[in-house]
Amino acid sequence: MKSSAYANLQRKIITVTLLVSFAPLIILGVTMYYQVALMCKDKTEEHIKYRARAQAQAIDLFLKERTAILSAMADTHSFNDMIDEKNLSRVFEVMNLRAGAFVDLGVIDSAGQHLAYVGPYDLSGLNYYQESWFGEVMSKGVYISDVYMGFRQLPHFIIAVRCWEGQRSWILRATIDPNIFGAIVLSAQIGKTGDAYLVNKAGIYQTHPRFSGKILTEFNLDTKMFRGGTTVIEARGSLGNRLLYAGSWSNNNKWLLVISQEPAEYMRRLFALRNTEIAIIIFGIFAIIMTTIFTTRLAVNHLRDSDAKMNELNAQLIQSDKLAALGKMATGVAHEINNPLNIIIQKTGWMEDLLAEEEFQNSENYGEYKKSIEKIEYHVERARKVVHNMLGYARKMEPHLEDVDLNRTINRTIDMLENYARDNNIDIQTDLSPDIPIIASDEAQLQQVFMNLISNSIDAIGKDGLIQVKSYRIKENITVSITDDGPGIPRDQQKKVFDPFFTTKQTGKGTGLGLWICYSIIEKLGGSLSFRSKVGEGTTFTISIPLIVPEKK
Amino acid sequence: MIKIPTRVLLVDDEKDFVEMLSLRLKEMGEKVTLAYNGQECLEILEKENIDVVILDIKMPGMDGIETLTEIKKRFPIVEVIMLTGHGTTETAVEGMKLGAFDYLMKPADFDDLTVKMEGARKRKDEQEERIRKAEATFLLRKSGNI
Amino acid sequence: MEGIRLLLVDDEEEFRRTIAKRMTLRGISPEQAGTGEECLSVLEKKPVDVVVLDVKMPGMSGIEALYHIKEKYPKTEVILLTGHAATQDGVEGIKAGAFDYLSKPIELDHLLGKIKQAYDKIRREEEKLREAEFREKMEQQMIATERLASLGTLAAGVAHEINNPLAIIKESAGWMKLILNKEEFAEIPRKQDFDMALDKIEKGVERAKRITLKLLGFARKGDSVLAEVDLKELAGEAIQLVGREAANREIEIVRKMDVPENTIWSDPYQLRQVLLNLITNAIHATESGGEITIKLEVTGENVALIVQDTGQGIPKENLEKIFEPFFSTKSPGEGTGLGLFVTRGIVEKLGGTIEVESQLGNGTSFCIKLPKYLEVKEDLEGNHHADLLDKIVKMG
Repeated sequence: MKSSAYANLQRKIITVTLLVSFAPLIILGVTMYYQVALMCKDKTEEHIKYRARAQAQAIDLFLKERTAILSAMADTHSFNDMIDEKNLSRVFEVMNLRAGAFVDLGVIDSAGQHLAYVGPYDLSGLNYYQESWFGEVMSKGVYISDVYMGFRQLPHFIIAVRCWEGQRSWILRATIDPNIFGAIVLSAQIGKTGDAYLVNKAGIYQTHPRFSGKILTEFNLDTKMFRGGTTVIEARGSLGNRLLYAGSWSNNNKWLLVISQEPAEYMRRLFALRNTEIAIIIFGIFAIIMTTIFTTRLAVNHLRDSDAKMNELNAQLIQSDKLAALGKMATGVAHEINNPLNIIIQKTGWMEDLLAEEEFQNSENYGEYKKSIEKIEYHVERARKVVHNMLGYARKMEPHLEDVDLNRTINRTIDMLENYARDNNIDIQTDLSPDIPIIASDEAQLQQVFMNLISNSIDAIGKDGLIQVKSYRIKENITVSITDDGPGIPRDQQKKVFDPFFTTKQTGKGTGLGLWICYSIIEKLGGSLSFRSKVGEGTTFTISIPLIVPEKK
Repeated sequence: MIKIPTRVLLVDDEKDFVEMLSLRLKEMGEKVTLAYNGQECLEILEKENIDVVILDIKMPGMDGIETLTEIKKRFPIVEVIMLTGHGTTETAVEGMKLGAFDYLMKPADFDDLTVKMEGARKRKDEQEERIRKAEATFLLRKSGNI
Repeated sequence: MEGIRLLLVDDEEEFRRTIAKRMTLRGISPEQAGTGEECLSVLEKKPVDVVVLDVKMPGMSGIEALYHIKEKYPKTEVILLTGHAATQDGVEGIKAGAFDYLSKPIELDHLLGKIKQAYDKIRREEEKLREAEFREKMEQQMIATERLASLGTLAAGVAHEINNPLAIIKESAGWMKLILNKEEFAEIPRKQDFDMALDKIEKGVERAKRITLKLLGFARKGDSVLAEVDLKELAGEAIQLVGREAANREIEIVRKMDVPENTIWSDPYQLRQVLLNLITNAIHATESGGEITIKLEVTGENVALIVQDTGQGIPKENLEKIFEPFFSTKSPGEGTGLGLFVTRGIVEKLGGTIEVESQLGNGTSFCIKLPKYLEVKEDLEGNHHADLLDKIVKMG
């Protein structure tokens, strides 16, 4: 595979991994956020709803208390007592003492005439007969007004009760302090942006809202949106911002207590949560990206390495085949050389015979001729030996047992490699013990082992060096050691030396199978192969094979 | 025509080869000197006047390529014909780059060898002639200046 | 279950028959024997996978028979049938190498299950054995390959070692001839004989030299180069190299390569190796008197080289394995086991594909498709070489 293909693969893996891991993370984050937001909103709604209801009840209680004390006063005093302003002011004091929040108190007869008055305004003498609330009180007995400006030009509201004294009826009327009342309403508000106020059915502010609008001005929402009991709606406030409204009806459904709040208020914690969540997600994404890239790179590199190894292995196999094919052809070709060599040797022999005839004996060139012919014969023999060695090595591919003279095998192998060694200025010395008996073994395979080990030694030395080959007998074993004074094998490579396809030679030189094959051949022959190596000093390979005497035939 | 003998130096570690070839060359009327390794070859060049060196590439010790480098460094005018038994053009190519006159594959055809030797000899003579002329002009100019 | 060779041994004929009948219904038809002796004689005549053996029999007892069976036919599995309370026999039987034992009365399904298990065991063992054999063979193959490969590495050196004595022989002969032709030797007796002998020697050296040059040529052609390749010529070359082997086996090699365009741009040496591998394989697969056809077809931007033989073909189960390294049906001396693996490697490197089609008994055909023009993807070696040659040409 080309490097671009690896980059492509890496990109693909990263993309898919990231997609697969981001999607759930983000979906989870978003869902969680919305769930929490929903919960938060629910809770806030619940909260303001509860506040609104409680406050509405508080207002009802407030009004009931005021109405009750007013009725009690009316019932326990006679009309005549009441129109005496002295008595009336005493009643007023008692009422303010017991309940408070009354601004003034007045007595009105059935004709609407304001007969007596205690309070800061001079209202006695006014006739209320025309006022709408007058009729209401007269018919219903109790009346709580909406907030209005009235004669005193100040927003306020009144509570009036009707009393019966024999055939006569009269009205006790009290004004409620708008500030105290407003304060009670306002106390329902929550937080910095929260607001609380009263609105009547017609949508007129009954108390001062905290932020927008004024008392007796119009409420920006339709009160019909608030159904009975307590309702929460979300709507735009008068300033255009989104607000959460909770409305609870009180005062016999005449007044609506509204608590409003900006969602942002309760969202603040949610935002904090959101920020944390986003931070966590970003951190998570970052971590995922890093680990994905890291692991993918690791995996792809690993793949690339193993591919490279595989390729190298294939290259080595191809190389071995190439060399094997070459070896095969070489043996075939080498065989052919024997033919011309035979002709040459025959012709020289014949010339020798001719020279042996008398007439030549005295010829002046006789000596030199004789010498030349001998030289030819010697060198033909030399060439023949080379071919013979090579063919001997190539023949017998099937494993089989035969009588082996180990020293002779070693010498033959060295013969084949001597020239190679000499060319590189390497001396091969032998110290072969003469008391090694003939053994039963596989000569071709043993020669293969010696060949590999010695040529490895030559390659290890490179140029100028010494190889020592020794053979000796230890009890029932024969040991052959091959020592070179090459650079030695580094410690980290020593373990791998016998692995198949391990090679330090450049491609084209070795198959990488050599030592592995030596090892398996020797093992199969029942022996052992080991080595000792020191960097800078050289390497010794030691073969130990059992002494198996061939059976007598 | 009287043949001026070429002064040949044969270098090969194969003793028999060097001897046989020298016999043949001597028979042809050349003046042959023998050396069996690179070191010896350089020593002889130091002492004797040689036209052509026939040099084997594969030799133990100082090999043919090293020897060739050394010859071309120290005796640039001497022509070298390389002998290779290996048949690998790589070494031959390397030799040509280093300034060898030509190369021959072992076992070489004797006629080929003599032809190439003549060629080498001729080139050497021409070179010498050129150098002599150059020296002459140099001397002339010098005397003219005085 | 089918294909199990079963032998039923029991002295009670009635029991034997019933079981045999019921087994036949389920696809196994067992041999029958009434005594231990009979059992052994049946085994001698016919190989059997599983023997169901009654322990209690007159004459030779089941256990005794078991010992004989295990000694003579170690691969045969034995299931013992023992009497109800005779577990002792069963244990002894297991020790002696029985697969298992069942107490009488037996349940047929149970027995069949056991037979199947025994058969599976045999098959597993066989598989293991085959694998070990294969591994052994592969290792031998690798050893042989390596030996040839080390010879290959030595080939150039060997050529050199032969060339040196050849050079000496040549010079000797040349010198002798020179002397012989001198004027003072004009009158020498039998001059012509000498002349002829020396001529012959020189010719012999020439011949030997040509051979070593060929050897060196092989050794050298390992590098990759790209060049114009005449496929027809290349096939001719390859046929020449293996021609003798084909002739020895009386195999005819036919070329059908007459197409207008028979040259492509590729690596000639690698392609030659491919062709050599395929033709050699074909020769080995073809019996004497057979025919090998090499065809060339041109289709668009590709050429197809087809090597077809009339050999025995490749069994289907091997068809997938033939491209694996060290898979070989030849003996270690004949092939490297790498041939087709390497062939595929080379073909793919040259941008082509290789396909095989085979019919048992009718022969095999390998089809290589190659691009007409191989684009250089890697930095192929050899450019360096060409550079140097260029320089030399300019120098000259």
